[in-house]
Amino acid sequence: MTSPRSLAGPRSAPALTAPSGGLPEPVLAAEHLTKCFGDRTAVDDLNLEVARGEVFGFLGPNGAGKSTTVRMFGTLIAPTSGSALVAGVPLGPGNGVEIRRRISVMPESPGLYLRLSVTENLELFAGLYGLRHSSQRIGRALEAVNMSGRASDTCGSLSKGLRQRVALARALLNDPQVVFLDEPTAGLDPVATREVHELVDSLRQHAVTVFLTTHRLEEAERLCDRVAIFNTTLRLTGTPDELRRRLFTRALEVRTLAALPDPGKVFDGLPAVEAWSSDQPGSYILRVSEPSAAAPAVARSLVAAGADVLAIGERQHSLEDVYLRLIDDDVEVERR
Amino acid sequence: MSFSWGRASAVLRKELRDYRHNRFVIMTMAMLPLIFIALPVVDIVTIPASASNARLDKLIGLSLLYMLLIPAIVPSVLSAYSVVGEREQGTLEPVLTTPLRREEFLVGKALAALVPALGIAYAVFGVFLVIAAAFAHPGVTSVLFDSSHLLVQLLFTPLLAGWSIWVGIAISARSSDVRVAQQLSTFASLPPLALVALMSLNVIAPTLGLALGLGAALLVLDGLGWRGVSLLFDRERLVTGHRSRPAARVSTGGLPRPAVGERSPTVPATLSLTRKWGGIMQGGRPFEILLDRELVGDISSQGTVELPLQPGRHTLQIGIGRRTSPTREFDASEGEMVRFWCRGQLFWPLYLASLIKADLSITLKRE
Repeated sequence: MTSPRSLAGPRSAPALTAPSGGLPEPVLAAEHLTKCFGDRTAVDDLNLEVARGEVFGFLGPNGAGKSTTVRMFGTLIAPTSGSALVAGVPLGPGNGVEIRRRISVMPESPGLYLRLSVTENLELFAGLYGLRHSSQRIGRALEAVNMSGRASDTCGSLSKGLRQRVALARALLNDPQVVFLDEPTAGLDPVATREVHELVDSLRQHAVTVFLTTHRLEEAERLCDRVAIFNTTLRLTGTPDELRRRLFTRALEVRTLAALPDPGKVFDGLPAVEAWSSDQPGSYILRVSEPSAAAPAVARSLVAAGADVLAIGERQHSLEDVYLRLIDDDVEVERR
Repeated sequence: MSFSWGRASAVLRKELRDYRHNRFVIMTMAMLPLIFIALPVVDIVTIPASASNARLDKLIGLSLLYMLLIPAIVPSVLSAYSVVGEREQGTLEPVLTTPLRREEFLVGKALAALVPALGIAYAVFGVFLVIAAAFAHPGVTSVLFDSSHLLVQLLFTPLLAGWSIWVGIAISARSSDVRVAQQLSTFASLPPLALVALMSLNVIAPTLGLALGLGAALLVLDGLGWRGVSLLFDRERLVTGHRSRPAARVSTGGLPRPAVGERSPTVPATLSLTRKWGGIMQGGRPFEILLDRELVGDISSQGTVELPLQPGRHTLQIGIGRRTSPTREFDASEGEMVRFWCRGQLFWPLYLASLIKADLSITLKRE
């Protein structure tokens, strides 16, 4: 896919790097945002800030309230309490049109008119956004998602993946400040998925804020500057690295050819090692505060003990580990 | 920001394109008038020259009435699809996340139903006049081409279509099923035709003043229809199925759920509520019970709930989303079992009226 630069007018350069504390110019924010449906609370006391040009992942299980949150930001539903800022505009009854003018939402289901052609679908939305030179903008949006060759096809004749691309083109039409993408790669093949990832990267480079809800954790890890793990309430927010550090202690993984006859003798005397455990013969987990500093001392001690070392490395936790630990905690609480 | 005709016309253009691509819609729209024109044409052509004036007036009146069924019925089917159809095919949410205002959406949808309805209605009427001029007895055509008859047709065609469209869109905005919406809106578009029928059949003398008066009344109704439908158009309800409600009415889960047969030993009075089977469009969803304006639980179809309550005066209301029963006040004395029953509205006219007066949706009565 091509860069969406051609779609947008010139924008200021992205100011964001990794906004973990004190965000520069939040373009999307929620403060105590709550939504109840009858006696069911779908979103409870949500607080978050997303900066201009940031790709923000919003992760959570089915029914966690992710879509409800996006719908509140998109002014489709009104919060029960709390406040929010969307594309720099306070969320409120009088600001709905102005907010919707500045954002675009791509729902999980593409929501295309299947009897109309790709171009006719986009012409409708160009009209609803009041865009000038709509045919040129439509052409560029289709080019950005590699759909120029299918412009006159009816949407009903397209595969699910291609419909998803048309929906993405629709989300780019109005040069939005904030794009809400709900599972943008659902149903796409690996090549198309990579193209969507490239497009999201490109949006970030052009200071477009992307609010991405996804179940694909490797996608979130690959694309997002920060992620929030959400299950009715906000469980954790930060960069994937921050979340790993917060939830998991840092550790070295050591593998030897044969089991050490007396591992305590090897590891207990090392000041850098706080504790150790062994889950199977020849495999050891060493809790350390600074893996890069501890690894050489561990290696020396192993060699001195006559061990055949196969590997020493920092134990890696994926975003999936973080996610599962938090969500499993929720499931455990629900069971009780 | 004000109303944008650009956005309304974007909706209109999309709808017209959709009709063009959907041959079934076009065929249905074309077939219905063919049926309406057949009988009047036969009547007009076969009226003998010797027919009495009364019979002539009656036949011509009936024929013209058939013509007026076209603007009443053709747009009602289209407008009934307008909102619930978008919702069913998943296109409503993306459209509602654009700067489009509800008034613009509604005007675009209404024009999309009005344009083909007027085109077809006037075309069919024109064909009818041409056939009558060519084949009917000159005495018949002179009565048929009377200015009052032509005025009724020309004036009431758009006004009836307008009424039919707003009723159809109102029902569509409140329905969850296209088929039900289309049946209801066809039914609801007919009442204004009764007045026109009285004029066409000369029960009411069709004077110019009366026609203009009725036309003005219909015009006002059409304007009120637009405002009313705008008020009924609730984005949140359309997207989530839940009505946007003020926070004060929302229970955050603090209230205990009443159990059948539960009775507090310290509270001597009991409210017994039974939900009878039936009701239009209530489905199997439970009704919420509001006792003294507090949500205290819900009741499923054919279920009974007993609630303990303090002796004294209380209020009871049943609801499901926007649809509610009237609020009933009652006194409960010590040890008394106060019995109520409720049921979804059974009568279609009252159900239709509940689109305006929400507390007609559910019947709640003391036994």
